[in-house]
Amino acid sequence: MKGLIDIIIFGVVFTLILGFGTIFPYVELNTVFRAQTTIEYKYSSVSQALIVLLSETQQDSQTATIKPVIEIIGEYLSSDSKPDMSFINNDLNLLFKNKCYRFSVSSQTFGSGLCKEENVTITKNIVLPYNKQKLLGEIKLVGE
Amino acid sequence: MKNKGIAYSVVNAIMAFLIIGMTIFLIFFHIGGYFSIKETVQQNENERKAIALGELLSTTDLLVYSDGYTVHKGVLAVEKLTNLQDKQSKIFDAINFTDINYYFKITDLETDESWSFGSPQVSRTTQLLRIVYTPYKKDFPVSIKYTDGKMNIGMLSVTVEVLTAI
Repeated sequence: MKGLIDIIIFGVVFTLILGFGTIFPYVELNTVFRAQTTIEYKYSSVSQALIVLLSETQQDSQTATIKPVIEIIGEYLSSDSKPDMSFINNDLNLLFKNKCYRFSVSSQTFGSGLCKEENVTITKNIVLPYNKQKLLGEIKLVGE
Repeated sequence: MKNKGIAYSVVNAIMAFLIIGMTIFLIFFHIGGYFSIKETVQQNENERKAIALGELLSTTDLLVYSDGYTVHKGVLAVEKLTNLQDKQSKIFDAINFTDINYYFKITDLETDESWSFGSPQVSRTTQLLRIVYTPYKKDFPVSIKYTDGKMNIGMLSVTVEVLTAI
């Protein structure tokens, strides 16, 4: 009887090792490829979303002229009289639809809600106009 | 002595059943695994194709704004989008994915104006098979550049359809 139990245990262990040992490398490789594709796409997508946002033109609330958003943000960061930036939330809602995003300009943050830590973060420096003390300002976009 | 012989036969029979059971289990386990992996790899491949097509379209000078020296990736010139149907064959000739169907839609998210080319396939049933087109969609943020210098935010949607016969 002891011999029979040994055979059963050996059979089960053998089957599991052979089965998983054969399947696992394929599953693991494919999971790695899939994760890589997803991360590359996410990174490229969030990076492109930030470029699209910065190159969009909007009316500057202070001068009533049409300017690229990057210039409006530059003025927001460098001058005391802050231009209206409420359009950014609307633009990011259009770009990210129902997905998570968080856009930070200095201490002001525009966001759709809490983003997970593993989401993509893109940080860029933009040129600040009329400011000899600080030439660059940092902006950050977290998205999925 | 006779009882001992019977006991050995029972053990042998159980062992035989066990080995046959294990073999059958192993065969089905591998077949199931093979189809599961094949399906996942195929899905991954289709996603890659959709991403490759999106990257291609957001850099081709057939659609993208160019100042004569530089092609601006992701900046679609609106004057190049107006006659898309005429360019369709030229763009499609540059793509060599023969086993899939694809269509593209570019939307100005601020004005809701859109431009599209290619056409979605409709699933159908033949006498023997049901022909199904499974879509994989990927979105790419783009800028839409108007002739007066205005830049709007937009989205390039790439849908890849894969033919499956059930």
